[in-house]
Amino acid sequence: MIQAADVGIGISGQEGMQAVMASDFAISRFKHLKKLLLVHGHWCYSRLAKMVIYFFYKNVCYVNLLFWYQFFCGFSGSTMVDYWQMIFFNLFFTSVPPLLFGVLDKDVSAETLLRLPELYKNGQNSEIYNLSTFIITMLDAFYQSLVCFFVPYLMYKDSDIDVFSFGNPINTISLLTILLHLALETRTWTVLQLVTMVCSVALYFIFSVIYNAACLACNPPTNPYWIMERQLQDPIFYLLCLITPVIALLPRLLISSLRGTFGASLILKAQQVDKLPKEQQDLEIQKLRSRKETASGAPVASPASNDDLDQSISHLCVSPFLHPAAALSHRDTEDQGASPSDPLGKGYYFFNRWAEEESAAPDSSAGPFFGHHPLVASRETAPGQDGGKLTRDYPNNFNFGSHRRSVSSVTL
Amino acid sequence: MAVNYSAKEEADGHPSGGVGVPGGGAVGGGGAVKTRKPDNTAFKQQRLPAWQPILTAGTVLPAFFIIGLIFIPIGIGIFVTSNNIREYEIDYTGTEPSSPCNKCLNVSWDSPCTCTINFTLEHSFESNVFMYYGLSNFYQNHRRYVKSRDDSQLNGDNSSLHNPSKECEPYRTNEDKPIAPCGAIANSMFNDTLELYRIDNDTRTPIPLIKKGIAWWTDKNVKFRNPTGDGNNLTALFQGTTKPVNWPKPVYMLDPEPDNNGFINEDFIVWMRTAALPTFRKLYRLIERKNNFQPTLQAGKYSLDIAYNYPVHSFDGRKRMILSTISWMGGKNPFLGIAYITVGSICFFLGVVLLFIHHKYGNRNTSADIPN
Repeated sequence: MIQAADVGIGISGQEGMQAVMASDFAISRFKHLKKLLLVHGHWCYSRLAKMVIYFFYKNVCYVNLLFWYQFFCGFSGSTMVDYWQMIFFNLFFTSVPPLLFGVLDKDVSAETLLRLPELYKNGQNSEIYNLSTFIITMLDAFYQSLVCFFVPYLMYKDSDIDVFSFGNPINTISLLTILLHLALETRTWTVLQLVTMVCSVALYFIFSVIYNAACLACNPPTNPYWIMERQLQDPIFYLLCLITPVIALLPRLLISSLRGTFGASLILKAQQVDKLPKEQQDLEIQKLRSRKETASGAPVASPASNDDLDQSISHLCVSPFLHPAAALSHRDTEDQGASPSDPLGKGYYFFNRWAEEESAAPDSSAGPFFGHHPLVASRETAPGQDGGKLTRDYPNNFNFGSHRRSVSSVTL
Repeated sequence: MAVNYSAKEEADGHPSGGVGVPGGGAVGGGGAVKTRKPDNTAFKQQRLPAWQPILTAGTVLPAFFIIGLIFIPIGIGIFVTSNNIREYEIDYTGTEPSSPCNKCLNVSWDSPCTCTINFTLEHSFESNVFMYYGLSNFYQNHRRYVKSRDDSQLNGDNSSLHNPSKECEPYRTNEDKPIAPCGAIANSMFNDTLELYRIDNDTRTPIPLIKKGIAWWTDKNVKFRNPTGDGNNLTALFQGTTKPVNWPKPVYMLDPEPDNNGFINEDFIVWMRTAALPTFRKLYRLIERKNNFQPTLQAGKYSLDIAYNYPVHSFDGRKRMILSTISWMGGKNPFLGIAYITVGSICFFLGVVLLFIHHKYGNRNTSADIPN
């Protein structure tokens, strides 16, 4: 019995809802598992990873502005930004766009994810959030905060600017830079995301104008009276707000575009496939998959796949999908009485149940598998052998499988 | 946390057959059971129409070109404007033995000291000239210093006048009387007096310096108000308070004119607007252009008379007087113009590079034909 898992998925059934109650996610059909893993699992990882990295970047970038100021105020802990504007920065003005990014962003479309299960490895290998991406993001945050502070500093050096008129452009510039950074990261632009970004900036300006007009002596020592209004009449404010985000985001834009042109990661390929018209997509996906298989040296029934299968339970659900024929052939040669302690048996069991549903129902998602793996089709033509095996298995495994099905979960 | 998830509606009516797949938990046999299936709306099923950009060299290079083409002219405009601003600066701290103000270095505030510095303007100053005093190594932005004020008192609130805020400590009371205006910022107000004379064949003509209009309008008319009462008799209004410790005169004797006296004295207001950086300048006086035919300050010899009251030597500070003309972008600062020109040129160059890259490598990705 499975004692530990990353995510528990229960498949609700006639035997009872025990699995459903014990699980993190509950689904009703086995075939829903495919989409749950490949599409929603991948999106969940990619959204969460990017959002978390973005939140780290955002806070490092903003707080570093206060740090750079310490070099010029005698390390006394003075802030050049008004207290309430600082608090609302994180609370209202830059909170909704990343949340919406974490909810809606899709880096690869659902159809492509279903057809290229290899993309699931992107999450398993932590390709989006690992040490190197974290360090690069932190360095980028430092660089951007340097730019956001020192460009206004060099502009206002040795002038008659006061503390809060100095902090106001810095605050505005960092808001624009941080939101534009998110805009560069966003892969899916819906109306909602555009509206929230524009509204965040608008809310910031409206709040600042109202606050700076209403607060005469309400918030010592800043009492930022009329600072934003005066800045809005100053052309230098607009010129600074124009150039500083450009300087801050230029390296990131350049590197992203070069990576988009030269990069060879599978995610990038999948994104490019998404852009192609429908007919070409199938062609490209077939090319990519055949290239992956020949490159990994794994023809249809190769022993190399066994390493994957043997390694860990975590590869379980991916490799049967990748090499379903291999799984089938392996199963044929193996002792079919899968013991409860043998995870492979269970995995195959789940796969077989899925494959049978797929082969019985002509879904469009089963297309490529039909094309690639004639052995799946052959199961239909020889129902006596495999189907019989399965129906024989079914009551056996059903009984002990009933216990398994209702209590245990798929390990990811 | 169990989330009921049934993605494909059309698969629910799937025949069970010999496989005996149980039906979904939510859809019961009877129609009376309330379904917990999520709505099939575009938002909840993540089918919202979207634009999905991919950043490649080809998609990004128009942005680079546009940025380059916009920034370079702006930069040139700003740079030319900044170059047309005239500025002249005199450091009169007096730490060098050769400086005329060296004798005033050990000034104490009850023994006045005056010094005179002669200088020559190479070019004439055409439009209105602004006269600033500048201080260096003076941290008006220190946290304890910035806190040390009472804005309610400065706004004319009578209760705060006699009971200043605790933030003003230790400059809150003196000999049991409340200090008006309280705080360290007010206490350290700049009190040198600068006068400018034109030297024309041994005759010294004073140049008229205007002391009104140097503070922000909102500061002078809204934020800083004298205590309510008769503006002509400020002495009575400030009854019961005492002057700041380091001031020679109390606040109601800053200027004989009633609309520049008390808290609304413009030099005081300018000082209370704490500077952002340790090297700063503050507007002191205005020199207005008399008519369109004569420059405001002609090239030639001038003399600056200083009543040296403000000691900066103890903290290695420096004092300066700056004469400057002003444009729409403020004072003389070539930085922004140079920054715009530099960034515009870099963007344009990168645009060219990306164009070359796109031309050579850009089309290979659309066929996903990358050798592994």
